[in-house]
Amino acid sequence: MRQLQYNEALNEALIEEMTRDEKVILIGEDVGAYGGVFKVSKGLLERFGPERIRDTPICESAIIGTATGAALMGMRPVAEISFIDFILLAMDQIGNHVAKIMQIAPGLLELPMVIRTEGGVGGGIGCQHSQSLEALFAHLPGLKIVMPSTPYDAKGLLKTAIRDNTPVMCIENKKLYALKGPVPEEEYFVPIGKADVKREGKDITIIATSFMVHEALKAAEALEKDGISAEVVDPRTLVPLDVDTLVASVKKTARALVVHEAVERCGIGAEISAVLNEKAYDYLDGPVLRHAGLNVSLPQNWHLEPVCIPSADSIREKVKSILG
Amino acid sequence: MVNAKELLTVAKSLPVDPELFRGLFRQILEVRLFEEETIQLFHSAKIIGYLHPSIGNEAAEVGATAGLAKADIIFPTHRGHGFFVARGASFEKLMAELMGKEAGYCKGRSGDLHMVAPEVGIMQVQGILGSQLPQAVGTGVAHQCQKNGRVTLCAFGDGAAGNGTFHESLNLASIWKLPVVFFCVNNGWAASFPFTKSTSAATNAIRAVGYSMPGYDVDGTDVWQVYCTVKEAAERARAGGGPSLIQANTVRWRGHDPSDTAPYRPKEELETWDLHDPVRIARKQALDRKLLSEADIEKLKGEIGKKIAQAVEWGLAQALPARADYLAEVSGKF
Repeated sequence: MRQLQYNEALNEALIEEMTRDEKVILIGEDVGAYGGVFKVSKGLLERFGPERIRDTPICESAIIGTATGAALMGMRPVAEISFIDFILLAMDQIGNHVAKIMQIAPGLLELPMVIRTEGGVGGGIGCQHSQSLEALFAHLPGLKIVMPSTPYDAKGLLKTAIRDNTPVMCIENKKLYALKGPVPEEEYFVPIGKADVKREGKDITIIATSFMVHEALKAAEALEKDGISAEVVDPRTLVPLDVDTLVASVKKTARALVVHEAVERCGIGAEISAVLNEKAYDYLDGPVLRHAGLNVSLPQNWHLEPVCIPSADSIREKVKSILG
Repeated sequence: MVNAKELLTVAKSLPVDPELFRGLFRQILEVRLFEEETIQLFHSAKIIGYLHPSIGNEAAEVGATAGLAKADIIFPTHRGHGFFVARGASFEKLMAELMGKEAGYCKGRSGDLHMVAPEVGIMQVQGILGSQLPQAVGTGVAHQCQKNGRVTLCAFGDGAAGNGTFHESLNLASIWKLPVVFFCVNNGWAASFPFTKSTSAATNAIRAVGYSMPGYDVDGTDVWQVYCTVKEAAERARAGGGPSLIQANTVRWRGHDPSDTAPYRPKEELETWDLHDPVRIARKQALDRKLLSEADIEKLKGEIGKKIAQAVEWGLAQALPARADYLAEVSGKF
């Protein structure tokens, strides 16, 4: 199958949806001539023009608010916040408006908008360009959240998100943009709310998100040599969470470890652990454990960064300590 | 020192159209009588949650609405019932919503602070002051992309103008030449904080200069002046001339809400409020111009009073949303 980079797959999703539907527009910083900080909107300005590809000043609150207003009028805006850290400037728009409008106006208003952003450490760029803040948004009723880990999922989920009539956040990861993977030439969609078993196994379920899916897969490969068969499940969507797939996996393995890059405290791992405790307690041979980012403010130093987030090695050690 | 007046734009004054003026007077009276009723209903706990009456802002809301076309969009302020009334929203559904009834505009879930009436082009009221500005910009983007000939009027208070969204939104609207009219209703008070202390400019209208758009400072108690100003700004926006900023000056009647006794306000200001009463002013204008007689006004009052009484009666007779139905509808939602 054809191989595409993660950012190329997202770019293709945007091109396809913008070509199909002129209501789809893009709003954000550096999305125009620059082609996006991570090159997701490369070539779009030339193709669709400045009315639909809207470069903005630095105004995160207005970027989200503008997308909201455009969506209220029947457009299908995609707002880009290039680093999730910056999204804190738009928290009012997201938390008090995007997440709530459809519920305060039941049956009266639709909000078909997508907020694309990315998180994760990479290159030692410090605590204001490296965070993983997805859990903040998962706490707000009214927002769907997808976190694709492969080029295939990225394209399929973004296309589904753009066609959804409710607000969707698509949270990418800076370490994934250059990752290559199979992406079919023909059109396809990945459903929101459906987890994916990335590797089958029988001894333990590793539930990993975003870039950590790849570290978990490497760990699973190494664990094979240790005589441990690990299953890797990628929720792909955090809200709504595909509880059935997670429970089915735990039913088979009786052990679960949740891995994510975001800090451990109140991270999505806490929610997944609680859900498994409620729904899969009878199948478990031990507690659901977490292996996540350190509860620190990330240093602006690539040399120190690796100790702050899980890696294939640390996941392997953690699994061995559980099953050892 | 800059001379503020030199930075302002003054709208062309249109000759008073008798028929239109009579209609505006009627709406001003409707807003007033509607609000007098909501305050009573609030005190008797029939209206639940919050209430921010429009008294003092009637002429600003009615005049601004009249300056727009029917298909134009309005973002009201949190003190914005007057926009709903001026747009011809159903009194029944408004009262029912304020009372938290299922038959209200938003099934009784949004009340005074979050109500929305898309059927008359009114977007949701905002509980977070100033948050509507970027959303209004977004509707302007949609108008521009859809080439639909619509304009958005974004109302906000003098307090909300202190929010960072004011700068972000006016800047964006200007660089994209969007069809948006920013309409700041300065009633002198942001809850307990006076305009004179909250605002470093003589009027927000002069800030328009920094965004390369016209800035108008108008008497918000003079319905015709407000109408002429908004009409000029809306027509410019519709013709592709971009956004404008209008500050309409009014005087707030009493407290921030019916339970606020406003001890922080100077006594003289409260005692002389009548001088700024939009109903009294519009009434005098109508009589002086011989557009209406005392008898006409009394008759109008009777008609409107009856219409409101019917709406109240209807609202009171409606059912509260059933908890079980609500639970069934929202359970399992993401």
